[in-house]
Amino acid sequence: MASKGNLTLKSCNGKEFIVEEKVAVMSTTIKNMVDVDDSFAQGVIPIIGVDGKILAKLIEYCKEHAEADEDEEVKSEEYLKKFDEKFVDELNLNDLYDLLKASNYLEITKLLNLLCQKVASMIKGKKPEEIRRIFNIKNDFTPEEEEEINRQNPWAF
Amino acid sequence: MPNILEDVIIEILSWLPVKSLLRIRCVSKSWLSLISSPNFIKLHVTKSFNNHEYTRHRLVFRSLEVADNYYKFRFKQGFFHPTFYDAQTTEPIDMDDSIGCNEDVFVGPSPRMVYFPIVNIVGSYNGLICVTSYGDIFLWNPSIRKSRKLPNFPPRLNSNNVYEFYAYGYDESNDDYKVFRILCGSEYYGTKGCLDLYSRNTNSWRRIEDLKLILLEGFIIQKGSYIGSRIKEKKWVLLT
Repeated sequence: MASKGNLTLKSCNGKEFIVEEKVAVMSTTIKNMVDVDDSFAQGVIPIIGVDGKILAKLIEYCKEHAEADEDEEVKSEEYLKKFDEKFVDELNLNDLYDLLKASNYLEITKLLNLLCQKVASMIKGKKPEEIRRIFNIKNDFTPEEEEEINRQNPWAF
Repeated sequence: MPNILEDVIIEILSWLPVKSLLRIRCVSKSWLSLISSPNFIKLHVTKSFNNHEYTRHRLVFRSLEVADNYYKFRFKQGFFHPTFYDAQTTEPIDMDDSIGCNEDVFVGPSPRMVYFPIVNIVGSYNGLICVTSYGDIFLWNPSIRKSRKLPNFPPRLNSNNVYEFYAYGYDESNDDYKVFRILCGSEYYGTKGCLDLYSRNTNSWRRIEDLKLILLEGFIIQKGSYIGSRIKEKKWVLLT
């Protein structure tokens, strides 16, 4: 059991992490759980659908940001910016996808924004067919329809 | 990235520049309708607005090129940058042909003969620019390089109304873009005139006649103004 001020988070594959409450409540979902039901604050909070590897990543991110919110001098805006850059640069496509899903479910808005920006920068110059591959989207246009759409803005290509 | 939630897709796409969005509209039918939806467009505008690094902001210039006996109006855009205007960093942007500013204007033997602006920027709001060109008026979105010609002005009834002023703005309470045209006589103070008001939502002009105009600084209106939301018949507010 976690000591006072700490929460225990449990991943879907059974890994437990003891984290400070201020770190855990960076997630609005967890904050709501703790606010509504006191028993979560005492016991173990199951994080459904998020495995240990991804949960560790989430905690790493939230820890830095929670500490920065508390003490701007130790962790300046510049420091955080560098941390964010490094954090997203080290992710492979699978981790990026898992983190996106997890931060959306856990409502960690800052991280979700950061990850969305990263994906946006990845797909910025990509062709439609490459984007379909990344997102696993089926093209439901006929070639004629596709051509017609593209004809509306020839300068964008 | 299979089965990614639509909310997340929207968030990702809202970070992309307009050019990329136009290119990837053809990814699928659902992406096309998402990117074209008014809610997404609003989200995208808000995000661009709040980008404090100003990477999405653009300055639009009207330039007049003189070649022999011709004048040519061109629009150029540049990044919003602390160094401000630098001819090297601007690129020409074409309006669509309907605006006609790509046409040459014959001005006769002396270029000085044309002293009145033929293509004019009335104002800009949310990236939507109001332009008058050869007696027509357009709402122009340079980001997607598309414009819409507004319906023709209502006819002039009073030949004494020789001066015209334009103003363009956003009416927040109705989520509407509005264009004003004021016609008045040669005296600015206490002259009678009329006001033509265009609303994008109805795509039509409405005329308010016999206005007693008190134009404190008539020319301010020409320079593009923000129009407040309290626009009522014969009681209107122009904020510059």
